[in-house]
Amino acid sequence: MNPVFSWLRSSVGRKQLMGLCGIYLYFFLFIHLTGNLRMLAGGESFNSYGHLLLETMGEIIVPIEFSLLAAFILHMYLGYKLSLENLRAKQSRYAVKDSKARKGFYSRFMAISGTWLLVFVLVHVPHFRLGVYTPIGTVNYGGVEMRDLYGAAMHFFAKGWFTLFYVVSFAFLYTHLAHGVHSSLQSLGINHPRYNVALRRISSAYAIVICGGFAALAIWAWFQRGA
Amino acid sequence: MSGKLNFKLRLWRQKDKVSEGKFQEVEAKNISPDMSFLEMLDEVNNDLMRKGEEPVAFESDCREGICGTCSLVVNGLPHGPEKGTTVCQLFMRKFRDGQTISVEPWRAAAFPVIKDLVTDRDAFDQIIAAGGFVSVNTGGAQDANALPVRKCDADTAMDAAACIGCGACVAACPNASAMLFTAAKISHLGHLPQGQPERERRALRMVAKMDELGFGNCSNHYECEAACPKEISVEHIARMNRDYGLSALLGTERERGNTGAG
Ligand code: FES
Repeated sequence: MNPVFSWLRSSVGRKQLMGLCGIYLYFFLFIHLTGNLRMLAGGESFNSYGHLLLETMGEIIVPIEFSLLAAFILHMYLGYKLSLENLRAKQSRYAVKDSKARKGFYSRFMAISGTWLLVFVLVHVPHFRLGVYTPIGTVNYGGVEMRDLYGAAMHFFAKGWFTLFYVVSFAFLYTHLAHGVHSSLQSLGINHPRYNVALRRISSAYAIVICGGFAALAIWAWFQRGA
Repeated sequence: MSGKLNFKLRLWRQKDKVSEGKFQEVEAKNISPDMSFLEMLDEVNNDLMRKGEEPVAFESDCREGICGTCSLVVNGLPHGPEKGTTVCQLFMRKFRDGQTISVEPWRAAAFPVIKDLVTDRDAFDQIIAAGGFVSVNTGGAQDANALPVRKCDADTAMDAAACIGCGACVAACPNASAMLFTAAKISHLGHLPQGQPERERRALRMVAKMDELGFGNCSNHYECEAACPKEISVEHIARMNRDYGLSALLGTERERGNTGAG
């Protein structure tokens, strides 16, 4: 059998692939966050950035978007498969169950937090990327016509429920990452006493920056309502 | 001298592989605090036999924590509440007088219960047979120091070799995964020069065997490490993942597809 296939079929290989997809998506979030920060500089800055990405750099950006979609689907498929298989292995177990391990709270809710994030993506991407739920208007800066993503975002986050939904989603993202990042590194074999503490600190600081950053932006946008 | 202790036991009774099991409530009376958990069960069995009832079946051999035969889940914890201790080395002074103690067998799809508290752990033997060895041609024994081993490697290999193959890692894992056991064996041999020629093949075959036998997937809860009576670290699992990934994707092992037989 092709060695890549047998790697993909093994329990270890599937987890490694799931971790790699997750880490790829995770790095994308950083780029996404830096882009969003332009909202603070106002509509023109934010919209021109979006315009630059989609129109000027479209040939690069669109394939990247598809690769992100592929990574997302693969990550999700492998995650659900893992959870289902483990659910089966778990059945009919102990009448009394206790634990000596430090309780990893988030690790038991990966499927739940993951499902929430799936719903989030199903709301977020069609809405802001594709304009499915409400069409995204256009603005004109110095004769250049472009999508008014800034206006769409402000309109969206003016509604308290939507902002709340986003903030809760980022909280779920945090719990997902708190276990996921560390777990992916372990699956990929990155575990060494010399670096473990540093890795753990860096990954939790990164998770706080990402989730806190997105949540803060959503709340900031909510405060701009009516302005 | 401390006084005698009494306990209420809930013992798992199951006639054979196919029958449904259930708990039997039994009193353990006049137990010395210096008895081990298994000696306490011996007393209970003596009582049961005196009453003409069938004694409860459980496994043990060395009773000094080195063979890995004993295998009881005590109050939901494989090998009981003490860290780094097998149940044969667990003493009754660790329990409160009058306490109710539930005793169950290991539970995992790959470890079927044979009778009462005895499970079939043949799956572990199969994992070992798939690659947990070094092939040695027959002939005169080598000089003991012919192969130099660095002290740090010898230590790490020894940490992994401390695995007694009891299966507490599988019993404790929420997914009934055998990663810690398999990793300990791969890591033990992988740290020694004798283990190098078969290193790739070993990782590929042992992981494939483990998957095939119906153990769950590791999702890094680290219950195994906490339950291990030899306190084997999950670092060995990371090392196995590394060995496996590299062997599968970049390895030169010819028979890599043929991961079935040993
Ligand atoms: S009986 Fe040998 S380890 Fe417990």
